[in-house]
Amino acid sequence: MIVFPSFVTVSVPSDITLDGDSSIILRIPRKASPESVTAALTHYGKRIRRIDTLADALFDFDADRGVLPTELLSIIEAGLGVDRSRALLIRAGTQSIAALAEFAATYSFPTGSWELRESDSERMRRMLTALGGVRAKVRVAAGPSEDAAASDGDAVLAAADFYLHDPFLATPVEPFHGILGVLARGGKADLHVFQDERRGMNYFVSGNGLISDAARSLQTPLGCIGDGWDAISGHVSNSPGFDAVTFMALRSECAFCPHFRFCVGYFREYDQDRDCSSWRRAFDLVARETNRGAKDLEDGN
Amino acid sequence: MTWSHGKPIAERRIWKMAIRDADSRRRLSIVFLPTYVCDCSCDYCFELRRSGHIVDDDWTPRFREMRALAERFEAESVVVYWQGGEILTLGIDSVRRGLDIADEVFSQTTIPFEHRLQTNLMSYNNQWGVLIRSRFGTRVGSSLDFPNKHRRIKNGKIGDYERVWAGMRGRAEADGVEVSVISLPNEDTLRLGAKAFYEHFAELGIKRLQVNPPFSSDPGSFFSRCDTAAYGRFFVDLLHSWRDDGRRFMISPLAQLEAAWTGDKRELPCIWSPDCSRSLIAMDYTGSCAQCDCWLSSWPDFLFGSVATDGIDAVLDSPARRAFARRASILLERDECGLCEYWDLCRGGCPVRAFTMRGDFHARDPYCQAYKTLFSAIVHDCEPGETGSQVSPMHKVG
Repeated sequence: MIVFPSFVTVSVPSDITLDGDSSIILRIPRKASPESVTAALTHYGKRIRRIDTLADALFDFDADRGVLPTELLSIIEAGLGVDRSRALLIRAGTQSIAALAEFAATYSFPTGSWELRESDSERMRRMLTALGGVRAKVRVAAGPSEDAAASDGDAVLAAADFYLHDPFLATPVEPFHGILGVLARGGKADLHVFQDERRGMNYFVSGNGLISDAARSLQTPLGCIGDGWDAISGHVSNSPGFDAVTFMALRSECAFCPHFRFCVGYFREYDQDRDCSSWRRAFDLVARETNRGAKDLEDGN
Repeated sequence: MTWSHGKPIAERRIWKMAIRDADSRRRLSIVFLPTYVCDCSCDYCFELRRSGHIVDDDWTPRFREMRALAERFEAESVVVYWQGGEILTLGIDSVRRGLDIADEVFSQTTIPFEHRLQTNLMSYNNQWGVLIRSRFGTRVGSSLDFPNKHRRIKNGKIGDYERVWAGMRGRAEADGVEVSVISLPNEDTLRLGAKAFYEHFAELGIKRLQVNPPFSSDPGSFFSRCDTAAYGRFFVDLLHSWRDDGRRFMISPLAQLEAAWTGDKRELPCIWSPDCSRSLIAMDYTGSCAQCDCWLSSWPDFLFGSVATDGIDAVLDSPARRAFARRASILLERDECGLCEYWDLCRGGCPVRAFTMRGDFHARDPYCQAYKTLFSAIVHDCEPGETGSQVSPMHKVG
């Protein structure tokens, strides 16, 4: 049974128990039982760096009574209550906008944020309006290519536009907030997903115990939880993702893209034919607006 | 199974519905109607359909129920808005008893509370002045339109109202009571224009003016079929008159909108409250509760129930209240509200106006276009810090 060392962070579903000292990103699966979540929170304790959950796992859909908090959320909230510095990431799924809005208005997690995946632009805009209205932090996920395929191509642009132009937005929409800051003031920003995919530092354990270096590379696992640490860590430099980074930097058109410094070839890392134009258009918009804003400042407006 | 910090799930749900609003800072506003009796009979009044008033034995249970509501809402403070009917018709001794009992009941909590009074002043006298100064924060809200077409003393003529009002206002202000004005622009107000409206109240020396887009419980009235777009133009013209005059006195909602935009303060009128179901409730002298006074007196189908006979849990978890609580999310999903850049200010507007003018309180406020016109004027003419240019994204990164 693998024991991850203390310097790595492992994303693990709440129904799998890992020993060791590694940091934990605890994932709450869709049909998690309250008992398993309670047990995981107790077992991992202060090792938990973040709790990830699908919104669908939390919502209790009841057409007559509106969205009700489930027992699960009460437990998660209680777990967060032990140490408020631990963050909660809620991944919005296929739930209705009304359900999401009602849920977000009822539960405000100071350390939490919402992750939205590509969808149609109207749905994206409505989700952002709902979440912005309750001061929720949001990040737009640089999801896998199947997300992009399901999008109408304008959802990411709609999110950037909302972030840039909604006059009363008071909370960040990432990655645009970070990128705007970099373009305006310098520094460093990237797609937030990178913090979960630092090679050699982050590992992902699937529900059936397979281990990969990222959620999106489960097709080519490094091993399973029955393996030893040495075997797993020895495979990291052979992973497709590792090779892809080199490929992107040296040979791909990504090397000539003005936005490479933000995405570092993320979208084509595992799928070299993927169309990332929606993200490029969003980055273009942020850059254009930054230039306009800088000019306004220069002109004294 | 109970997982909710020891509370049963159902109770926790009620509790959750009552709290956690990003903007309200958990202040609970209770609109209190200890009487439906009034000495006026205005065209657009909602309270004409009910009658009766509180008796002395009921002050204690009503304030106890308010205290229990405040505790259930986990309110950080409570404001009790005394409305009617007309409060002054209760008689000063009765109101004083009520205030004393409120003090006693709320002394058993740590929740700060205050009273505010709305009155037409028709029955004002110096004794009221003393009570108002000591118990209602020295200020009252009163109603005056320009020109007056719809406010009238019971069995009186239109002109009687403003004549008596002016006299009583003079007496009240001489007693040290500040009279702020709530005004509903009517069809003649629109015809005369915002500048004349502004100048009228400026000349009266009003210090605080609240301008409300009108509505009526009577579907056949002017207010139910008015040109809402004209109100947008009216509000923008009023904004310009007010600014040109150096913002000489406080006008709601203009001042609050400017403050919200400049980031100074976010305290908007209740029509734009983030979610009135989480921050406001109305209660009458019998303990009946509803979302606000309009529902309480005019539409029994939308009552939450009675805290006196049904209990607080039943009131807070009533189907009617849950329906109000769902309004914002329904608008976000179905309506253009979900795509509107001013959602954060307006939240779909007022459910009563939606109901009276569109027949569905889950619809967006019929003054939507007027609000947008005003919001746009606020945002594009008034930069944060008053520097004046188009909205720039640069302020997002500081």
